[in-house]
Amino acid sequence: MVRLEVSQHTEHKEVAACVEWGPNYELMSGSDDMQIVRWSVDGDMLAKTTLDSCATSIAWMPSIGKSVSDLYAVSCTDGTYRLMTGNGREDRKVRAHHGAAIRVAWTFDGTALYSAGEDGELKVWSKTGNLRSTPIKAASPIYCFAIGASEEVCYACDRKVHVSSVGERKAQSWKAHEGIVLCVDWNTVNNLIVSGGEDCRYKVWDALGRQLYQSQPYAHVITSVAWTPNGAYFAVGAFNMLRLCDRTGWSCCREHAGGGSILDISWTTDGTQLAGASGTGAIVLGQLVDRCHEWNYFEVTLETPRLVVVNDLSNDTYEKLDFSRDRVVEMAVGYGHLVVTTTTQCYVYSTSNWNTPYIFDTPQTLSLVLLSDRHFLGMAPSSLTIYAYDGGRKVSQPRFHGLRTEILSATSISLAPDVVAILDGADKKLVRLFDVATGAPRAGVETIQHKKDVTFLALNQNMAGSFVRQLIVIDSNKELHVYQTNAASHGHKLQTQVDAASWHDKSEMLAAIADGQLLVWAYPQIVWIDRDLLPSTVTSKDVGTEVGKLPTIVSFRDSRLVARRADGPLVTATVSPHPAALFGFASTGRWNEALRLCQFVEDEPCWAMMAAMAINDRNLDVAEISFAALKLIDKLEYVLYIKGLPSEEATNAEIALLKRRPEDAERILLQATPPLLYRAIKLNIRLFRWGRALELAVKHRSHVDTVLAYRARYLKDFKKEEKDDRFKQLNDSVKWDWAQIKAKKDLEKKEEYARAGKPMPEKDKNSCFPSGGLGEYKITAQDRGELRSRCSTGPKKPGGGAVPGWGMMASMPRA
Amino acid sequence: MMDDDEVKVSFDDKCRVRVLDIEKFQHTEELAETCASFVSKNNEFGKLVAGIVEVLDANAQRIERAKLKAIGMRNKVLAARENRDQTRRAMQALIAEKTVEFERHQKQRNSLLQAESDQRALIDRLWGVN
Repeated sequence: MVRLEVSQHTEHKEVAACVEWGPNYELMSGSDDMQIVRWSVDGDMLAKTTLDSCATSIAWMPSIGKSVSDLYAVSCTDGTYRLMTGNGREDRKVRAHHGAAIRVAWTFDGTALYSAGEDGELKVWSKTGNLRSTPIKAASPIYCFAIGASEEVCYACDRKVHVSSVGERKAQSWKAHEGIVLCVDWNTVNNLIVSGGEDCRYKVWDALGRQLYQSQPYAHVITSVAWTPNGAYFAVGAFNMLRLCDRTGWSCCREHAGGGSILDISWTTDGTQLAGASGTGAIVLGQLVDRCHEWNYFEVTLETPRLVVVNDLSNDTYEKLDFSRDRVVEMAVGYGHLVVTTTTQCYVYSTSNWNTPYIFDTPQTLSLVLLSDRHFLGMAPSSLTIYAYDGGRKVSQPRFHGLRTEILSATSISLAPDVVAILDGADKKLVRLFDVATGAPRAGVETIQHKKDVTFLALNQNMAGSFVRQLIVIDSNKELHVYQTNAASHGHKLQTQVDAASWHDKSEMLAAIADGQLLVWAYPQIVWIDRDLLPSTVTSKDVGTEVGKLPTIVSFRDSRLVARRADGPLVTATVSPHPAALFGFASTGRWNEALRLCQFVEDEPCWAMMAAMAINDRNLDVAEISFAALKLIDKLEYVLYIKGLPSEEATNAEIALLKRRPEDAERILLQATPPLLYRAIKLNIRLFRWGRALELAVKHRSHVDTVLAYRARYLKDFKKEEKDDRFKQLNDSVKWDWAQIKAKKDLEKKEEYARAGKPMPEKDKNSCFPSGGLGEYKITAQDRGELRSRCSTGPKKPGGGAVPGWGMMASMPRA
Repeated sequence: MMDDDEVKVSFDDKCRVRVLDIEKFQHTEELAETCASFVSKNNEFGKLVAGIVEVLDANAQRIERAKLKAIGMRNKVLAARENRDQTRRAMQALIAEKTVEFERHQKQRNSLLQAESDQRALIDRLWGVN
């Protein structure tokens, strides 16, 4: 369980009112003794500056790019704010408010400064201290405000919290507390607001003012709240209390801050260390420790800020990894590696050898580490960098215009072995894809445009077999969509009301918790193979009582899914291990074993998954058995028909048709040598795409009569009149008769068989050229009976050792 | 002094000159003796009184200390009455917090037990077939 390790340092003689971390982990604190003290990261005093008034808040201008900012603003009780340089020289003093100026804050890009005061006004200033506008004039003092991700301001006034976008008139406000609201903070990553007030409670809100959490009333007024920049935790300060809470509101730990109210809290940009200004004049420093990560049988815990302990549960040994130089910021374990970042360095361990890590220096602190099979991604304040485990080599740096790392987190970046997906900062509907190897936008599919704001995204991880890199997104409507990243395609909506979703770490399984149900898609790629089968690959399990409302998924490995309830506990759910095993067999071409497993399990999702994987792999024998087991006679018949085709191109085209890609099918046929023109035209006729069929026929100057003949028959069958001008025109000029068409067809068929080196079947009822479109492609009653009996008995035959022997439906007698 | 009396010079038995007559002289001597004894007695008394005062002082101090102690105790008792509620509330809050944490762990444990039994069931099924 995460907790804070706290230490206290006293230098001020009066109440300490404000703290703020500057660049390079230096801390500034302001106090009623009119001094501003500069501290080192360990709590040693570095410098003192004396003002002629009491400081109420300090704001460092954000560092943009690689340049380190050297300017900070201090608001004072005399109603002014001052712009100061890092060495303590006062650059400018600006009269801002009547009464005290209570708070100042910079926008994320450092172009504007906001100030609020006791006069109830909120003002916007330029970088040099010129007044730009006064967007808010409230009736009572504004004790605090926070700037959101999209330049909106959230401020507290009396008992209400207001959210208003500067420059526009639309604003929202809601009554937040029973007493005056004293503190509020808004996180740019998760877009949640936390507020604390004189009613001794703290509450979590979404940006629309819906209450997500309300704490119990504590003994004292809540005087400060602060989010970690990554939005995972927030800290709450009150008299004698410093509390660390999860983003969902439950309290992870409580520290007695040793007297005095915590009046202000500030987190470092990496979100692992906080500073609090105490009413006794002391500065409280807290560091997140006891963070724990698990992978396979390794449990990695940060015991103290500089000590990581790895517990290998397979032989119950402990490894102590000491980081004497700097404190640990972030760690991640997975894929056989442990990556630990400190404020200046990065350590890459292999789980088989804890003694010799690769160590390299990082120019900026890596505050987020994402792992994949061969690479890992590190996020620093101004860049995203992909490193290889091997030697910590820098592989690439994906970048784009408008990249803002302060709004990115593990839910808006996903790393797969070949692709990185990053949510665009400005347009939250846009997901950008980059190649891991080059860092350049992914060739072919640079971006995926979703219809709603994306709140979560993840790429599937596996590389095995004929994989398709897929991206899942959850949007602001809580809908789960899946996209392909290999080719431009429309997304497919999988589910609504989704709280959390996760890919399996080794297979294609996808799990989601939606409306109290745990849903597992065995093979989501099936969307692009045979959409009809999608519902049969889903298993659902009611976990409503176990996971509660708004759970998050922590991990999905092997056959276990670990979710965190909104109120804290980790809940483990078991998921069928079969899909992962099946995927393992199929992706390595071990189809016999896969079939035996399926027959043993006798599970519909498994068979549906098998069918899809078989089609994807063009393994028609397996597809045939799977469809038979699923009792999908129509699809089974179609597979049998495809198996009877003479040429490879024709087979591929029909498989493409089965995957609902007629354009691909036509392309395959036309690109064959020689082009299978008749098949291409016939394909369009079967799909009733008369215009395209005629176009092909006219373009290649053959089979025009065929098209016309089928068109005539179609019109006659459906009792319709010819309305298409081109057909009317050609009907006048071209004559056709069925005998001639049949002769031509037979000739082409013979040629195709000859090319394939196969004898042409004698009586060809199962012809690839059914004479009347699909309409005449019928199954006789006897066939049907036979199929049914096979379907019902076939897959359940015990002792299915000789599976291929069972799959002899191809040689089934046909009338 | 007996100014009006005549000074009679006389001799005593040891033929020493005496201004006072023998009787008076004897009285005088007796007086001197009595005075000396009185002074010494007085001194003794003074010492005694000083001792008593010392003892009394010590006692007074002890009493004073005890008094203060008693007042302190009384205050403490009064405060304890007030603090008790506060402490109780703080303890209750702590208990509530620990209970929540305990429930958290309990839930986690239950779900892990469930997962274990699921795994066992699966293993049994696999064994049963082979």
